[in-house]
Parts: sequence; C-alpha cells; structure tokens
Amino acid sequence: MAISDEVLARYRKVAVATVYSAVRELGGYEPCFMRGIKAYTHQESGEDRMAGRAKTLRFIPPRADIKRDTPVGEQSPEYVAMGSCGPGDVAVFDAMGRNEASIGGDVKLIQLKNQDAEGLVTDGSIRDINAVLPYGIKLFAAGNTARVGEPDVWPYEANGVIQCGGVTVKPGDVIVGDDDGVVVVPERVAEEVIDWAEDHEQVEEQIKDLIEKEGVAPGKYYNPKTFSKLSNLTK
Amino acid sequence: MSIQESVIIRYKKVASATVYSAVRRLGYEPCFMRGVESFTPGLTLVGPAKTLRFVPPRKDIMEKTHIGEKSPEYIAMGSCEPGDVLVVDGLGKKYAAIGGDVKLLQLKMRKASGLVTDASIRDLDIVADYGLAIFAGGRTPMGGADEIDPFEANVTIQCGGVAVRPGDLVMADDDGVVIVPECIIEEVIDWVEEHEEVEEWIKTLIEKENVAPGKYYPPTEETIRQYRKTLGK
Repeated sequence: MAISDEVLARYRKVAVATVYSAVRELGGYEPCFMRGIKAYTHQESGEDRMAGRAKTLRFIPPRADIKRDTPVGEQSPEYVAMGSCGPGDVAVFDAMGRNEASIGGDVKLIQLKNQDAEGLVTDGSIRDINAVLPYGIKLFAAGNTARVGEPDVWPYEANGVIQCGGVTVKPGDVIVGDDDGVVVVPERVAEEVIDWAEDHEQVEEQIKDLIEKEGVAPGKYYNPKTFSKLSNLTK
Repeated sequence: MSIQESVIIRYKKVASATVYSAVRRLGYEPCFMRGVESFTPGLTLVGPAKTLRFVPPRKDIMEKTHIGEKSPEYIAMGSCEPGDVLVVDGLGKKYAAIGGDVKLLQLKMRKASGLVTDASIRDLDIVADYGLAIFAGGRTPMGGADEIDPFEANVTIQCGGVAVRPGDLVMADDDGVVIVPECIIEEVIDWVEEHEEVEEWIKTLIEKENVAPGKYYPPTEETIRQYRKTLGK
C-alpha cells in the first residue's frame, strides 16, 4: 500500500539529517543520501520540507535507433513519468550523474506544475531555472544550465528502478529533501524510519537543553546512554 | 537475430578507430566508451552484446536479487553463447569490482569472447588467463558490494556513457571500445572496409609525392571515386 499523506506530513517536520541517521541506523540501506545534489528551493518554515512518493524516469545516452523505438509526443517516457505524478509525489530523474545534462526546462516541467507534484529531484541539470522556480515545485538538482539534454541524455523509461545521485530509487519510496540535501527512504521502512526520526529529534532537543543549562561540552549528553534514557521508543 | 560469423570475421580485420568514424558518420553518437581501457593489450574483441545492469546496493532489492544461481549476474553470464561479449553497466564506478576470478569463471565456461565494463575487475591476473578480451574502467583488490550490485540482465544499459542493447556489436581493440547498433552492423563494415583501403591508398600517395596529408586527407567523394577507378570500378 502506498505511503499515506499523513506519513508524508510527519516527514515534512523532521530534518533530512535525522532521516538520514534513521535510515543508516537500520543498516542495509546505504547509500541513501544523494551525492552532488543541492536544493534550488528553500524551506520557509520547519514544516515544509519536501516529502513525497517517488515516481521515476531513467535517462540513457542518446542513440538514433533507440529514439526511433521510443514513443514520441505525449507518450514519451518523460511525459508518462511526469503524468504519473500527483500531489505528494516527487519526480526523480536519473541523468546518470551527468551533472551538466539538461533534463528539461520551463516548457516540459510545466507538466509537474499541472499535476500539482510535490517536487523534482535529478542528478542532471534544470534549464530555464528562473522560469521553473515560480512553479511552486520543490527543486533539487546537480545544477542548472542553458544547454539542452542532447547529446548527453535521452529519456528512456518511466517508473522503473533507477539510480539518482548514487542511490537506488524505486517508485513508491519516500523522497525527502531540505537544505542539507536529499535522502531516499525505501517504502518498506518508511513508517519505521519516521517513528525513529521523530523520537530522535525530541531526544536531541532535550540534550541541547541540558547542555546549555549546565554549560557543559556536548559529549556529556550527546551519547548513546543519554539517547536510550530519553527515548520514548526504548521505554 | 545473431550476427553472422562472416560479419564478425570482417570486423576482426579492421580498426576500432575506423568503425568509430563509420558509426559517427551514420549519426549514432556517443558510440565510444569513455574511461574504458584494454586490460588484454593486443587483443581485438568483436562479438554480439549481452548486458548486465548494476544499481547502488539496497537491502530490500538485494533480498530479491541475491538468489544464488538465478541472480541477475549469473543469468547475464549464462545467457552468453560462444563468442558473445558481456557488457556490464557498473555506473562508472572506477574502484568497484563487478566480479573476480570465481564469478567470471562462468564467462570462460560459456566460451564468451570478452567482457566490457565501466567499473573494475578483481583478480585480473587470474581472469586474464580465461581467454577473454577484457576492457574495463580499472582493476581493484576491492569487491563491489559497497557501491554497486547486479540488478537486471539483458536490458538496455549505459556503459562508459554509451547506450547498449543486447544484440549490438561490440568492437574493441587497444584504442578502446565502440558500440555498433544492431541495425547498422552491415552498413558500417561495408563503409569501414572501403574507407580503410582508401586510407592506405592515400598514405602511399602522400609518401610518394612527399606532400602534407591535407592534400588527400580526409578523403572527399572525388578521392574515393579516384580510388575506385584504380580498381577498375
């Protein structure tokens, strides 16, 4: 069953750094942090981070015969991928880490605005960035560019398993992003991770209070012993 | 459709550089793999591609793919017929191994002709004796498990920045690896053979007349017509 909007709302309130720690804590799901991808849109409050279910698009190097065999027009994989997005969905585009390759500009990406998507994440570049920013979609990319996608990349496959920024992404995973970057939470551990992350944040707040109140080095409380004492999960 | 043995033999007599020019001329760029080098110098590799795609490792995916003999890597190698070339998309991870002497033994047993990857090979000193032509991003003592994991056999992949489909022709020598899309395999070799003959003819003219190569090179349509005339065509 797809991750609920309620779970996504909880993710928007938690720092991506804490979500990273939670995924790491579980073991077996690293790498989960995307390398080389930065925020182009910034959070305004502590509750409006990007959190959404992944829809995916895989680019490959362009090739004339593959282009001929790939559906064109509205049925092109890029439009199928973006068209599959709705509110609470994040489009994740695998540009093979070609950070200078354009995955689209203001005309193509208007589809994500029309679909009211949550965001766009790519290890490629966004074109016409100043026209795309006002679309109200949260944007995370390796860069921005004036160039077009060819000769670097060609949209090949919608909603398959991809890599992006060195992380494997399956459709349905939870994608979270804030100014620290983007983390992928595999769908099957999404509830477990948010439970842990929320608890971890409340413990960290208590630890910060203790450190400030007592004027001590963080090491006194920033340790596993204090965490297990203050955690609601271990009680 | 497999590639005819007679076509393979024709490719084995020409240079990857000329094949590159022919593929480029037909508009199929990029076709040359970046960062992939020969680890069996002197060997020319020509054969039909089988493919294997790696992704970054992830526990939930690995639970479905790490299933012994039926893992994607063994499916891919097992699908190789004698003379086939396994092309492995290692996400360009230069220090991650796609396999070593134990795993790659399967390619030797299947009588594959070669292995191409943009990641690395482990235990190369042993693998080099398997009778395969090997082209890779590097060699490494490390395994690949931290960075890449085999995911899918015989799908469209990228390798070294080039799209590769099962059934394409892999052409590689000491200059590197060029991919010839299946739909232009014959057209490319027809052009390459004549082009190499024209170049040899041009080289003799340049030396004989002691002129700068620019007089005859690159060959124009007129140069090619003159060459054909020398053959009585």
